[in-house]
Amino acid sequence: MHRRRFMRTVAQVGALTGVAGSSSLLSALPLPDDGLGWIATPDNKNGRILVVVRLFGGNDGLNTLVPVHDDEYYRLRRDISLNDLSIAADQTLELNGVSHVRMHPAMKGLATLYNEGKVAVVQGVGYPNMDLSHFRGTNIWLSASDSNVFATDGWMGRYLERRMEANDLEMKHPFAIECGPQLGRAFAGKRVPMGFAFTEHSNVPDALGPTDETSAAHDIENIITSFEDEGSNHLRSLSRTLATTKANPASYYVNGGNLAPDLMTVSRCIRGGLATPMYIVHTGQFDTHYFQPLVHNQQLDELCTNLLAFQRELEHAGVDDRVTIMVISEFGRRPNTNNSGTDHGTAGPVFLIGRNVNDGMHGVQPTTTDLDVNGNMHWHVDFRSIYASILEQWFESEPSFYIPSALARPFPTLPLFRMRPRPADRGSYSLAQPLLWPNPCSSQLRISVADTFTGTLRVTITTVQGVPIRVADVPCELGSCEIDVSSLSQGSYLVHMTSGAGSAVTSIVVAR
Amino acid sequence: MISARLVPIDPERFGLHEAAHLLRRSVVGARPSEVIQAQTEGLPTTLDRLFLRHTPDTTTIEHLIGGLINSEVAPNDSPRGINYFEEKDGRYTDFRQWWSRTMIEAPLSIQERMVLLWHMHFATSCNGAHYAEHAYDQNNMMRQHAFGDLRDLTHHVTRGFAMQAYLDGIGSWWTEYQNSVNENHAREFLELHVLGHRGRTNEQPYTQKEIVKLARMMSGNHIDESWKDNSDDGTRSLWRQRDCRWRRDRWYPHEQELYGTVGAFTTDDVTPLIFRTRADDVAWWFARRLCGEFCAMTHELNPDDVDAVAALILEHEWDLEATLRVLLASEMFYDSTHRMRLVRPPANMLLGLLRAFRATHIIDFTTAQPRVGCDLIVRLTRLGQLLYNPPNVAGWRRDLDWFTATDTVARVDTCRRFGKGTLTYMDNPGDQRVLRYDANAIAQEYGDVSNLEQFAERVSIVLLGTSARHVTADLMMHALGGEQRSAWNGDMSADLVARGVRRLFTQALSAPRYQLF
Repeated sequence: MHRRRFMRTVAQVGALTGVAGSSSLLSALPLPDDGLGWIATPDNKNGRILVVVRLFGGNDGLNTLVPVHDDEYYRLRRDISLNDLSIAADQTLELNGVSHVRMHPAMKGLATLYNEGKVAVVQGVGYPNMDLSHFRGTNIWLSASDSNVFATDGWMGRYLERRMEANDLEMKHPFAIECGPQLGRAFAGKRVPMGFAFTEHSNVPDALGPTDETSAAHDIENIITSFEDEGSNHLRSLSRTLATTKANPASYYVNGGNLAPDLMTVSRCIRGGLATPMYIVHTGQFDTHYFQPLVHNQQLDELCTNLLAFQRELEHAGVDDRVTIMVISEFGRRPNTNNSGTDHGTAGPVFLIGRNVNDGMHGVQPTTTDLDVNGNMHWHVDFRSIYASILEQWFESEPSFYIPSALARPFPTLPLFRMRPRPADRGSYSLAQPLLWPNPCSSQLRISVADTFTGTLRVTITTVQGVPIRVADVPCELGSCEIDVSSLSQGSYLVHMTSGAGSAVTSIVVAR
Repeated sequence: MISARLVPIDPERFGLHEAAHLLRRSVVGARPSEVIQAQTEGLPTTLDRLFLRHTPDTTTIEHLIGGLINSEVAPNDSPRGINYFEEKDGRYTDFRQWWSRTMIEAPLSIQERMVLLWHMHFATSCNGAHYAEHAYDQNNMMRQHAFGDLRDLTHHVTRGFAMQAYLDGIGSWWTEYQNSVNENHAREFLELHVLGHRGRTNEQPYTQKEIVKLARMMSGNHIDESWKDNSDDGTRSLWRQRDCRWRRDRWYPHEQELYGTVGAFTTDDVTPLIFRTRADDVAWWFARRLCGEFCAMTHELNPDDVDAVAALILEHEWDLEATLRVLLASEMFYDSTHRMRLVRPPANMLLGLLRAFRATHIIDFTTAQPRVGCDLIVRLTRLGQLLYNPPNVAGWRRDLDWFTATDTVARVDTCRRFGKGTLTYMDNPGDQRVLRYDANAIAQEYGDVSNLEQFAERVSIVLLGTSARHVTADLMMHALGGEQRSAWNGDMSADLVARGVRRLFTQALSAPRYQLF
């Protein structure tokens, strides 16, 4: 069944139901095989990808980024018995240019990447009225909702849904892939699930059995058939990609849980050219109520070793410039100890890893000397500011595009990415094939031509019938310039660009 | 006065379609012989059969039944914490296998279907109840009250350890100096168990003040357990009572006014009070659940139908059997516009498949090491419904939400491979341990297999709820496998016919309709 017809069927069933937010009616929808050619934003040129690694259980931020000069930390965590939860300063890993914190000794992999300038650390992340239930905390982080809002969808799912609807996309590869047997909250859209859960155990089923067009249940049969088609298509795409992509150098990874095989799968999907912009991997038992020194050490070692292996694989394949990894956890842990472990707490760090991140420390390390009434640290950065930064700086979407779909309201962004395109990004566009983004746009339209071009670009905006609306000579520096389109009505336009080096025409959509 | 929609159908109308419809929705995996028998015996006799009680065999879980709960690996004792989780998971696996087996091997009865329904309504999780003994106690209690008095069922669920632990009722203590209690259980009790988040008038049927008052009433419960030092290795052993203990000194002792009644209430007063003072709202919420389970998808329910069933519940003074006997014989239940429009939850689908086809090689039930390699448990997890591990306090998905691209592929693939006889243990390719069924024996339950038209039509009606000619023809075509129709009783060898029967079943199990009931 064609997607539009399927959408109509779903809409009809939904209309019958009157159930708002009934999310799981259809899954990731097919788009073409030609990379991310499915959306006219920079994504269609550079295929940017976000890989979320979720640490289940609430990672102890204090023992991840150890405040080695904080006496209060050692007073709270130090114990002469077997339950000493403090990390001695001389065991920690130094980070270039950072003096106030060092990394846990088991984090060699991540420290290596940090010192190579490939890690941005956001310290003291949280949100108002933090919920310290694993279930609620996870849902809040994945849905980007306030703590008093019970959302049934995810911020990434809503964002992808917005992109799909804004561009009426068809997709052969999944919009998003969740490693595991079940699709969770992360990629649930407002109306439809945008992700596809995948495990190596997934089978591509044979053809379906008969349907009964004459029965009252035929509309549901159609929905099942469509899901079956989509799921089968995705599995075939994945199987083909995995079959044709060189196996991972598994020795880089450390096995122990699902993290290594899941990251290997994601790596093969990316290296194999799958046009999927978002992935999520769940890992860990970071809920260290008991035996924290042993368990946390093992978990961090597994995490960081595998993250390093994953990053190295992407680097070897030359695709690392397209990938950012984000490591999150539903909450931090309490500074004070609880026998051999720590209880659920508040502020914790978030890591962004990749060649294009603005490396270094961001935010403020939470202090152990100013705790709230429950003995928890105060947070300083709302986690949704990180999401907003990713959407704007990595996926280059305007707030008007992702608000209120992905995020309910504006959040201040942090400079988490290097804004200028990296060398690997260059050359993918030229005056003959300029890149206009974001598209659809609402106010500022950025034009990127060959990065060696410096001079004046004549930009003529016309209706699709060719009637001129605006002509401007725009100075270009290093191949990029911006024009203001905020006065244009919503609709489709043609942008004619002319310089001494040649000319080009591209269509844009103004939407608000 | 009884609603016209609840008037019983004409007994003459109770044919194979109706018998199959009744058993598909009221039994976890109706067998063809049971459907044929139901058609033969008629509706009243079939209803009598459905409401027969049976006592499951508990041989495999004797260690979980009765007496104190004992564990040699307590959670706080280093360095054996990991062992604690392994031990806990092992007990839950034993319990889940036992319940799965009970559903698969149960005689014809609505009993296990109702236990599954109540487990999904009053969802509790292994993540809160700590030990499988508590889950077993709750499960067994639900079996006893599966179609009894709704008030008793609700009371015992609310009072029971499993729910108290899952919703933080245990440890919700009130003291004069700390004038607050944990509101989790009270909130979910109202929102999920008895009133719903949206009531009859589509408004929130409770207030925060009511939650606070109810939470105070429910305070004072705690775990009654003791620890014994194991002097040799520094660890301790745990002995725990199976029920919560109520402590007056941790309970809110002051009088409160709730729903027009004043008193110093305890947990034991909660259910009687709410069923008495909010009877209409409670009956409506349970009626909605019953209609959503037996009649139509929740969002397709006719409000008048729900009101009619609510009135029926009140008329029968919360007696579930009396209510269900009327409902399962009613025009509302047999309404052709709602047939095959309910989505089978994965547990119902998978375990029902094994029961209906009398699967014979279920490794979980035959291995000498039941905790090692639990194929059914893994399979239920992959399909999204690991029993006693719901995704959240509201329980599992409902209706169309069960379908995503991932789930649909997994469901159809499971059914199809089972039909073909290639559903291997733990999905290990080439594994010789396959869930098997005797296709010929199952076919014989449908009647005379030599009459291919009749056989295909009956399979179509029983499994797919349709007798459309093109569906029957499709099944026949697959049975014949390219042979002429005349060959079925003539040239085709018994072996080829047996293969044809398997192909026919496979085709039926691959149909989208098999995911519905």
